[in-house]
Amino acid sequence: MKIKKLFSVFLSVIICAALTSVTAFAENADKVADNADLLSDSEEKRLESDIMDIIEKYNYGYDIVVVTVNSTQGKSPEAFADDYYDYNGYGYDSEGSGLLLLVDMGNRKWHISTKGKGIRAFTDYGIDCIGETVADGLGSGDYCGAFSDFISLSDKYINKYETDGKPYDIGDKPKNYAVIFLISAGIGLIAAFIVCFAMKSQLKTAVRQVNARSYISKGSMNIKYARDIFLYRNVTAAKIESSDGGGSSTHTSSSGSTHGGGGGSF
Amino acid sequence: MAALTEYKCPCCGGAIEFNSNTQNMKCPYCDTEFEIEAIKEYCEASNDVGDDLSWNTPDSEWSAGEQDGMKIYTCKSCGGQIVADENTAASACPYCDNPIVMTGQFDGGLKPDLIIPFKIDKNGAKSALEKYLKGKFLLPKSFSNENRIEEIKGVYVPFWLYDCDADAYIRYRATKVRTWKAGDYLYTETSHFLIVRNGGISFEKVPVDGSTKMPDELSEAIEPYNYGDCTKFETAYLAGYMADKYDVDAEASEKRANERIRKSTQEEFRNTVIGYDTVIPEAANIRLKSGKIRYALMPVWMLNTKYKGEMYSFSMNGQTGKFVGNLPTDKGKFWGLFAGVFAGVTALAFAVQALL
Repeated sequence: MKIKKLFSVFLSVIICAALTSVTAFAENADKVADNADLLSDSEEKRLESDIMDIIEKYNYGYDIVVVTVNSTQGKSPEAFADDYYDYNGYGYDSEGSGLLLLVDMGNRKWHISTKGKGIRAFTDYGIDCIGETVADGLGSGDYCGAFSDFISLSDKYINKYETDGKPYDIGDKPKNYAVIFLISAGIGLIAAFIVCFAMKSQLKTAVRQVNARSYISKGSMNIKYARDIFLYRNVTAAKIESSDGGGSSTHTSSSGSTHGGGGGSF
Repeated sequence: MAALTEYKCPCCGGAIEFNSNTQNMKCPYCDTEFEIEAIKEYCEASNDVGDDLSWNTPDSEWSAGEQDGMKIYTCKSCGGQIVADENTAASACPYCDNPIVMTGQFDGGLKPDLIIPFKIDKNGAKSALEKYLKGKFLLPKSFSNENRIEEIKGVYVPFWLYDCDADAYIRYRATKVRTWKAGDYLYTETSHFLIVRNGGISFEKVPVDGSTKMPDELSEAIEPYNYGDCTKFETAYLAGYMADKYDVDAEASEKRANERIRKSTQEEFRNTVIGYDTVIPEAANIRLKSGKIRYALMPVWMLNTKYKGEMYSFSMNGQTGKFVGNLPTDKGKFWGLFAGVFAGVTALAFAVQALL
């Protein structure tokens, strides 16, 4: 009897879990999963509707998820974010495209995991930029503001990728005009020196000869002995610093799917 | 008393001079032309000994030393007394403007071996100056208009011509650098070599001007001369031009020739070391074996112009027409150009970097 009761409870739990997971798959689960309880209900609703607006704007091409937790259960933020995305059935289209922002309050870490088209739309540089803004908000305790920034920046980057066909990348880095100006002025200074002194040299033609080349008897040069003796050779190796050429780096998650992304602390 | 030669026209008796266009002696009065050889023989044949002796008596005594470096001649045409530097070999009489040659200057061992006659005349030199001033942006605009030619003279400048054989033994340290990538590493392989070159090279007629009156910059900058036009020296070539005797002897001038020969030898041998990324001479042993030294006169047009109270000197190769001389710089234009290029290039570089 006792065993039967236990079994029925166990069964119902399994059924419930199965049911919820099925529904979760069908509805793509919560877009804002505030497990760490950082947001008020109204804030959560507002963020969720913002996300849905963007998802609809791009015709269910990209999923956008915000997850907050108090613990990543011993996993790295990257693994936890990837698995959370994979095992909760997030992502649209055949590639399961989308991105997820994980905030781990326990370790004060954030991580963004991308998949499918999300990998291509969000480059390492793009994720760093989002992360910088988000980490600022998280650090100051403005969680809702940080998530709003995440959502609007995601919109911005997806929009750039969809319209230009090129993601927001290293080349879109805001330029440091002071540095550019200094470099330009340096080039200008060198050019001015070269031009002016070349012109000035036209005015000074009374100069002594340096050699006697004009007076070499034709064919008089004879080399009686010429040797090129090899002495030794040495080899040095220098590690090539990977030049930051932009793009997105990827890895494989525990479920075997390919993810992009990056993270940091706040 | 130094002798003075004036070449008289066998037709009209006028003083004749060397004509650079026809490369012959030409009488400016009756336009008759004569071969150099013919004139020489004519002069020798018609030279009456003692003809001018009555004019050659000095009428006052010079105190000792006063006459050093100075010589007095009597013009054969007008009898005027010509005071000249002891090195002057040809000039013009200040009274009657007849071209004269102080033949005594080239007596004995001092006689030049070779001469390159003038090919370009006075007008050619003047127009060369005008051409030289054109197209020089930094030259003050007023220079072309305001500068006055103070003096223009055709001078046979004394040169020593050195023949020389150089024997060189030169050692270099050289490296070849090869780089390649393997994995995450960039490998650089430097191979070191010892290079030895031993051989000889000859130089012919390296010129050094033997006149202190002629600035070295002005005499060297108009090199080279085309030695194909060298002819045996005849004093008749000097008629109508200025000429100086050397005042730096062959031994003292040799230093400069050796400097240039040494440099050229090093350069020529260095050119035989090919295929290396760096070549550094380690030891250079150059022995010079001097050969023949010749004394030659080269044609140079000297021009002096005055601009804003300052003298500017130019020289032109009287054979090839190469024209040199230092000119003043317009400070305003210089800094204007500097600022313009600086601003332009900076703006361009900025635009390119900002847009890319």
